[in-house]
Amino acid sequence: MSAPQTSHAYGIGVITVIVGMSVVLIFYSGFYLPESLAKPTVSEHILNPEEPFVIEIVPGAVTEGNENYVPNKATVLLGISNLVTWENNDETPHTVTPDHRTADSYSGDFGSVGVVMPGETFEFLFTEEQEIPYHCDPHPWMKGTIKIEKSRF
Amino acid sequence: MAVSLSRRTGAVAFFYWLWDGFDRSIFTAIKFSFPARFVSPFGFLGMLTFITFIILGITGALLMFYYQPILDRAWDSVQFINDEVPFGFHMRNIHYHGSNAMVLLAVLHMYYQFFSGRYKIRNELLWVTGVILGVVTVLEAFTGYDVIFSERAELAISIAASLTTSIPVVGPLIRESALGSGFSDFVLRFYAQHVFLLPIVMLGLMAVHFPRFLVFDVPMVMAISGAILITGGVFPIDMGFKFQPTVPPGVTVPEWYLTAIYAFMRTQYDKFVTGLLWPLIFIASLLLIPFIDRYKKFSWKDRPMVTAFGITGLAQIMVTTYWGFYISPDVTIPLVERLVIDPLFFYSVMILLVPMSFGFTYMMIHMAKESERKAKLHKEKGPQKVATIHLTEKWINWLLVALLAFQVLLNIAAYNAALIGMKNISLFFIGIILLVFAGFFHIYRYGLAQAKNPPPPPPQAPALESEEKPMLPKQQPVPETSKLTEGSGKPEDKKELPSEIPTPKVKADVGFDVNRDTNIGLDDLSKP
Repeated sequence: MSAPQTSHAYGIGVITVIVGMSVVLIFYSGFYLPESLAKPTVSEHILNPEEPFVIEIVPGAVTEGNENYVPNKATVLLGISNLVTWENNDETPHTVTPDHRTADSYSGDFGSVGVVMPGETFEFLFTEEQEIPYHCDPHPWMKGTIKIEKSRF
Repeated sequence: MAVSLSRRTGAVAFFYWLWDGFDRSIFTAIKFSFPARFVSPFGFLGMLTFITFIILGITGALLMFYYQPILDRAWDSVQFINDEVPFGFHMRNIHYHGSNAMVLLAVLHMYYQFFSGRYKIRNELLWVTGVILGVVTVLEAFTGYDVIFSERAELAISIAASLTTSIPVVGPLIRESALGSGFSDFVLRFYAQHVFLLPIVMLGLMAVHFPRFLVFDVPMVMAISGAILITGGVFPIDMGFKFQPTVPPGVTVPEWYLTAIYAFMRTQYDKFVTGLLWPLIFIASLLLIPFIDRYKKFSWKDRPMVTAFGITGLAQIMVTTYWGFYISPDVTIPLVERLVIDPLFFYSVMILLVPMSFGFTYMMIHMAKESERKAKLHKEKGPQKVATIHLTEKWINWLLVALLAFQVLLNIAAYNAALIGMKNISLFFIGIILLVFAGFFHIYRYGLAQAKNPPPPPPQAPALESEEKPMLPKQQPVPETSKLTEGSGKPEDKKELPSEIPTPKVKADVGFDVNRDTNIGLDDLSKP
């Protein structure tokens, strides 16, 4: 039987792996993460829109067939009405939950955290153009759509 | 000038004095061994379970500093821990994922002992206490995730309370005395049981369950701890929603170790039978296994019925665990209909799994024996060498330096992440630090073992091409070659220089102090 072979290759190989991991680590935590987590710069007009936009959850929305989110198919304009408030005027708690996970690059994930209790509101600042169908989690027949468009003027 | 030549001065002397003092205590009855080389973790899964128990004890005690077991404050206090308390997020995540790890390790530990037939070596008492300990572990984990009092916890507490009530005759009394009545009682008493009663029961059972020989494998312990932290960093546990009586609860499922029971209960058959009787029958059958198993051999291959029994149980656990998680995603169906599992379908599958598992076991045993037979046939022809990594002393040193530097870098990264508020990233990095430390320690002990080997023998005469000793080859033609024919040559010729001194499998000390006086210290344990 041959004696155990030793070679520089093992040592060099393992140390290369360690150095490689260090480089990945520095890149990931020093450059990649801060950059991907950085909030994009958004113009002041969009951050401070001119008028509030209210979507009301009307009384009796909990019953299937009634009106629920009013206006149901809302269109808001960036820089004018992109700060949207959902107001629960019903007697039951509701949610504003996107049908598919949707995020705004400035404000983060869209959707109410937990439920919006009767009399409470949920506010969200949109900064990007998109169209989001949403619903109420406990009452899946309550459906609405919000469309965010660029201001044309 | 007095210079002490003794290596044992100051703190070291103090620790040895302390250790010698343990001679009169119970601790010296337990033999700890620190493996000097890699050993399979399957052999000491129980020890790893205990380590996670200790981790849970420490993090749990720290969580107790801030947690309030009061109906309307419980959830808020956990949120405070999670968001505001420095490193509260870390403690909560380690505690949560540690509990999962503990249940998982306990289950793995049990099944390893089951299939390897080890309960035959040790006595049955260890097995029985072990099974009970496992049940208490699940109860401990269950009470733990209920004291948050989120929506999910509320549902779980309701199920637990109503299950207790469903016990014939004594049920309501047990529920009244152990859990109280109403959620205010439940939260407080689940807490009392979680932090005191159940851990005390566990410690008592452990005192019986612990064998006298324990393996403390530092790298594996570090790796398990690191894995817990990494899981916490990658999948940080959320808060759930605070339970509010007026809010309709969303779809929730219990923790993974209880979804099997949950699946049974979702068949809507009698609560006591599905939620308590079936699990109790399962546990009882496990308890009785060492008394039923009369095979003379240990291996799973030689105990077909017992193995098939275990495989059946495992298959049913896996299927029901998944089934308990599955809730139809179609939101247009009413919630109750989505939750109910058709009992006919469910129980047919359970019954079908029995012959399937027996068939599977038969097939596996057949295949294993066949491959064993083939391996024996081909023993001569097969490859003899096992690929190993041999590092020279120089490279081991450089490797240790590189790993140290890497750990320093990781520490900086973890600290930086904690500073800028990326809590889960810092938890992840701390986990990586522990993993790297595991590797570091392993290479360190490998290096120590290598250092004890004698240097390789100098090259033999035939290798020398020098002309200075022309007489040597003629005088000693054979003696120092390693291949010896049996019975020939002088007796001293047979003693070839070992190229490697076999290291013992487990040692009493990893060798922090290799040259110490062997008459004192850890080795005292092995003295009669």
